[in-house]
Amino acid sequence: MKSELIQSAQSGNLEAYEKLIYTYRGTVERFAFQCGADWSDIPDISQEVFIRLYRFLHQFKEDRFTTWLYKMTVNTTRDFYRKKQQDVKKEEKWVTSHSSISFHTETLSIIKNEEDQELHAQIQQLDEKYRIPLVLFYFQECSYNEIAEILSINLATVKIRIYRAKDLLRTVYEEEAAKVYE
Amino acid sequence: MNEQDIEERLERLKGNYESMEERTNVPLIMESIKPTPQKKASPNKKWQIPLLSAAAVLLLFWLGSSMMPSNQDISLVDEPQEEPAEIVNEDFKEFTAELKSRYEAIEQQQFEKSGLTRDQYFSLPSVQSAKGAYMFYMSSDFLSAPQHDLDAGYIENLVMEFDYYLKTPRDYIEEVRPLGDGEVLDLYESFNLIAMYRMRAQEYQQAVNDETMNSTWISKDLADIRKLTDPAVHALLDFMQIGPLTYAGDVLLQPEMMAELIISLDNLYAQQSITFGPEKSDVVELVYLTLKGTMSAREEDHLEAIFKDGVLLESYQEQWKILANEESGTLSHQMFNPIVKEMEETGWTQSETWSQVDYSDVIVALELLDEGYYAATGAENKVLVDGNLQARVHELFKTRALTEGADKYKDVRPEELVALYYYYEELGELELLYEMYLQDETYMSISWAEYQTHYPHEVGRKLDSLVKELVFIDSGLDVMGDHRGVVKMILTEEGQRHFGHHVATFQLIKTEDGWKIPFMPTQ
Repeated sequence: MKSELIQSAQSGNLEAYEKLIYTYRGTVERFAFQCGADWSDIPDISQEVFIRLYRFLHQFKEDRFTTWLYKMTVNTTRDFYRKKQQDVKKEEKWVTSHSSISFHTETLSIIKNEEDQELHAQIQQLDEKYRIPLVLFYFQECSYNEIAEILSINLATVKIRIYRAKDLLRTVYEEEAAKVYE
Repeated sequence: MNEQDIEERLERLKGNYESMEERTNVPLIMESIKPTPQKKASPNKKWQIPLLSAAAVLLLFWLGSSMMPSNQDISLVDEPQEEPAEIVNEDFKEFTAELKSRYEAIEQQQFEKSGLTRDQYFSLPSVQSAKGAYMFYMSSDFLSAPQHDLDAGYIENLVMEFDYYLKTPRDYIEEVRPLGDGEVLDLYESFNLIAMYRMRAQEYQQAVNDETMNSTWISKDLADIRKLTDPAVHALLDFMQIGPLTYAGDVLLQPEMMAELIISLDNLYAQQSITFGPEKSDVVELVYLTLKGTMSAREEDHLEAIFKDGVLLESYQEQWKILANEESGTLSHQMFNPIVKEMEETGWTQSETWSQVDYSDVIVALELLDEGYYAATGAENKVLVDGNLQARVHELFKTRALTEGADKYKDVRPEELVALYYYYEELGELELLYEMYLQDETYMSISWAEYQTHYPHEVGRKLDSLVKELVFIDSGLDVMGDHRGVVKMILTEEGQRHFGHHVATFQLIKTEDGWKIPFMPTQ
């Protein structure tokens, strides 16, 4: 069904493209959010992804569609915050990622459990090079090969970055647990 | 905190993300990308790219031509109110001047060939796409991107992109490679020519508000395509000439015509080199209309459409019998034979199979046809996911689980192997699952340690919650000399939600130790 939609949308069928958006909008929204986008920015980012997607749809091969969709979402989210020049904090958050981040209450309220909110926040504090492979592997269920292709890095680097990401999360968790006991 | 704790926390967080409300404003996106009628640009409207954000530029392309300059007014580079900072560089000036000249020449040439009025031509989605692409490549957004080497070769690539968008329907015919006397395109080329022509011709028809395919130019084009193509694809040309199948919900075609078309298309899609294109939804509609007489999903509407006094209309009886009498390896036979048998037993008043079949079933049937399933197997390999299969699979588990050797499932049928795979996952028997994978260094593999920790499993999930039937199709040797097969999983409603389509495919490779599962993230 998805491949038919893609083929049909590639041939200019707007109805098929609309269905394609409904099919993939959840993926794009979740992925952008997991990568660190604010909850309030998600509709704008998603909208921009799908407008770009339409422009370039004919260039993409059906069998690599999701790979390309992830790539485009990463780039669009990155561009979105780059262009929000007035919001320097967000720029720092996305690009450098190690400043202390105060999330919008609305963003964290999406995640119900307090422990999960903490984990979400800790993941956002990881450097982008660790954060995105981790998100793709654990939350988007991408294989190492797909992640390598999405991020244009080699397979070994993917594995190392995911391993390192988990290691960093463990360290942060243990440091915070130690603070509680102090 | 150990590895498992982290994995569990990540898994739980993932569950939170899954329940996020979807908020993308789809109508707004569609509004942005839909072409709108051309209006003349305001004479005071000048391009001010440096003052616009990249996102706004991108949106502008799609907000329609009320904001766009007309064909002659494009003056991104020549008449900017403020010289864009990014295109001060001489190299960019040369690039943009060359691109402008090439684009305008192609656009003008194609417009003249189109036979459309200026308004009609510039309302074509493909022309809007070409213009959107052109303006993007002329924008500071694109020009400032460091990854592009804007040389002559790059311009040629962009020109190819414009060519692709701006082709007229007739171009597809005129670009056919030279053919000898009596020679026609092969099946695959023939099918592609029709698919591409159809796509562009439909755009042109919409531009001139012509719902049918009976315009003079289309009739001439279709006649020419007929001469160039393999007769096996002519059913598609007939299908195109018919136009819409329904009007205000009523079928426009006689049952004879619908049955004839189904038989022709049945033969076409059974060909290995032919796979459904964008016309698939029309074919699904054709089959569904032949079965139900209306696109409605309600049985009372079906009864009203094709029954009189509780008896199926004779015109439908005759055509259903013709379809049922097709060869056993056809969709027509597989779909209509059981219905006709049941109908005949009840004096053409009812059939349980007919009542049960719905739109999804037609999609599934066509997907199986596309796989060559009916022709290859005559539908003998369909296995219901029921208590019987579950009992066989449980027996396999009892007798084989502890057996040593890579050939322990050598005699197991592919459908049972897939069912066993899901059974092991349900039980959480990761080691047994891992043993089922193909061990071949030419295929993707994963270590046992990685498999245990990194590979997602849905322990406790039952096959029958996702899958109604399993269908094995032996694909034979591929180009690499590997013996391949697929088990098509016909999904339940829950399965359709899970996988996002009606049929899922499970790949298998045959080795001297029997069928094995190539490691893939999705199976």
